[in-house]
Amino acid sequence: MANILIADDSPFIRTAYKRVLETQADFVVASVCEDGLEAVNQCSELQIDVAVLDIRMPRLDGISASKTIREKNPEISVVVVSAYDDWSYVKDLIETDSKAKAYILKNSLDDIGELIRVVRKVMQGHLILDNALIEKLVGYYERHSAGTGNLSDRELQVISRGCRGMTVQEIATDMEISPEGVETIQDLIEEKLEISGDDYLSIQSNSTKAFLNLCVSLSLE
Amino acid sequence: MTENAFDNPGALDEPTLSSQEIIRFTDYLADYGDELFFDSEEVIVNYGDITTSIDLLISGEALVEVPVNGKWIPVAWIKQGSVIGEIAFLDSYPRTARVIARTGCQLFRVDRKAFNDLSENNPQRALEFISRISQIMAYRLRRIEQFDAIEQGRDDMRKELAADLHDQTMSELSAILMHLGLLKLTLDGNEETADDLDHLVSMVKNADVNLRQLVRDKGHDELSVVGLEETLRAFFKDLEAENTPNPVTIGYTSNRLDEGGLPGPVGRDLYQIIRQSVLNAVDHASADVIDVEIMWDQEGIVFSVKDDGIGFSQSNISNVPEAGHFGLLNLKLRTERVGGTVDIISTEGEGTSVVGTIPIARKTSETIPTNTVQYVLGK
Repeated sequence: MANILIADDSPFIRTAYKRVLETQADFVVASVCEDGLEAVNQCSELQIDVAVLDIRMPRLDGISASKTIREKNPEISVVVVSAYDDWSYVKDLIETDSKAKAYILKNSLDDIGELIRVVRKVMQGHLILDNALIEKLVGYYERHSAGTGNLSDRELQVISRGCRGMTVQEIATDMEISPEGVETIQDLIEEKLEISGDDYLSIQSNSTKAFLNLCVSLSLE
Repeated sequence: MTENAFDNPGALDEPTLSSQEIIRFTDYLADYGDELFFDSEEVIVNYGDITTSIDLLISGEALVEVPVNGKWIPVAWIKQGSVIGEIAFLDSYPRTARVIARTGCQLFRVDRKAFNDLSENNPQRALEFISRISQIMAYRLRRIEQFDAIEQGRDDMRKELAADLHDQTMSELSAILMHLGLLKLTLDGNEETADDLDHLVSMVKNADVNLRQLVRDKGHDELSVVGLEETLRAFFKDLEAENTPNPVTIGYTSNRLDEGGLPGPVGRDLYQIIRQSVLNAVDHASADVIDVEIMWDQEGIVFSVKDDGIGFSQSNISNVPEAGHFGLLNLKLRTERVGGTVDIISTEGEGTSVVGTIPIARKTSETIPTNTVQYVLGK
């Protein structure tokens, strides 16, 4: 059983999330909050496993709330839902630690399966970034990567899937290659991109880590 | 609340020439100009005309209109004793507004060359005339500043509205889609209702796409935030949702335009130039392939938008907003505003090319890698 907290200032959206999550037999929506502060307090009072937070909320925004929640209760996974495909928010979210966090764009949740998938993935400890954001990151990378080891399209495809929380097996199936093939590509990426000292990504493969580290170090706006 | 300055163009009264002044000036200029008559609704000056004449309105009333999004918007009443075309008289630039007679109008028209003759023959009179015209022009310039302030206010409101739409309305559309998705789960094989639901879903998705486009257009600060490359790519990406009868492939080639210090205003104009050219090709050319290229080096920017569509003959180019090619003149004015040149070359049946240059040097001596991205519309 997973206890889930939802925080959004729109009652209409709160109901939508609640109803979607409750289609899953092993999910319980334990708390529904109207702002970030209420979410922080509820996380301390109740046994919450996953907090689904809107980025813009009265009193306390979703990113700040997620930081406070994790300081007080490091075992809680957080999903930040946002209308902005803006790297600076993601950076802010993952700078201290990136384990069991997700940054998802609202319109990706149009498909009701997506919220369920993301919640399950963060509970396993993954960092999940929205597809649109990964596309943007890869685009940024292509334009800012001079001298940092150019990645091939295939390597970027592996990275994109890694950022979405796919395992080696899932990447292999999706790209129609063998798991060994995926690992070989990941090794190549690691060779090209040096992994910097602050090793804050805990679950994802080294190649994904290296890529995200690089994007952080390029200080993309 | 900002008020609509265009609702009542007559509210801002401008100085006019007195009857005595009109008589005096027409007398001074009698040998240099012509008296003209226009019926009500007749066009006195057309948008885009390249003439250097100035008109004194001896009697009657006329309306100045400018094109905004394909519509003529009235901006000023011209009354007896007023002047028309004082700016073009000085800078020989194509007319940026049109003037329509609203009653029968009697004018006295002098062109720049004739005025130069007067300056030589009678400098005193020429000076008297030109200083009076300058006063009227100074008044009009001040009024433009007021318009700008009102526009700025509207712009802020537009951005606020765009932010609200983005935060609130678009989130709620997502929530609607989630609710619809849930509803569909509860239907046990009721296919008719399932079809209705699918239809609803596609309607909501369509509304979402339109909203996104609107927010992008209205909250147009994006360019300064994410740069020209990102804004252009987002524009092409959005076009992919466009319904075209046949698939249209857009190839976009550039060399990292956001590196090298492109000034913001140039970037904004370049974006609009490319956007307008591509929309022209998508909407009017029935093209299969559109190639967009922007290359920037130490010499300057060279841009082109080429399509393989139906093209048009030069005689077809018209400046009226109803005709699809109205945007062409705008394109030219924008390019010239940033010191560039643009040519629009088209042959009926053989496509259209918009090719231009902007002489702004890139601050680097290195060779910048070129990148091409493809977008397919109406897949």
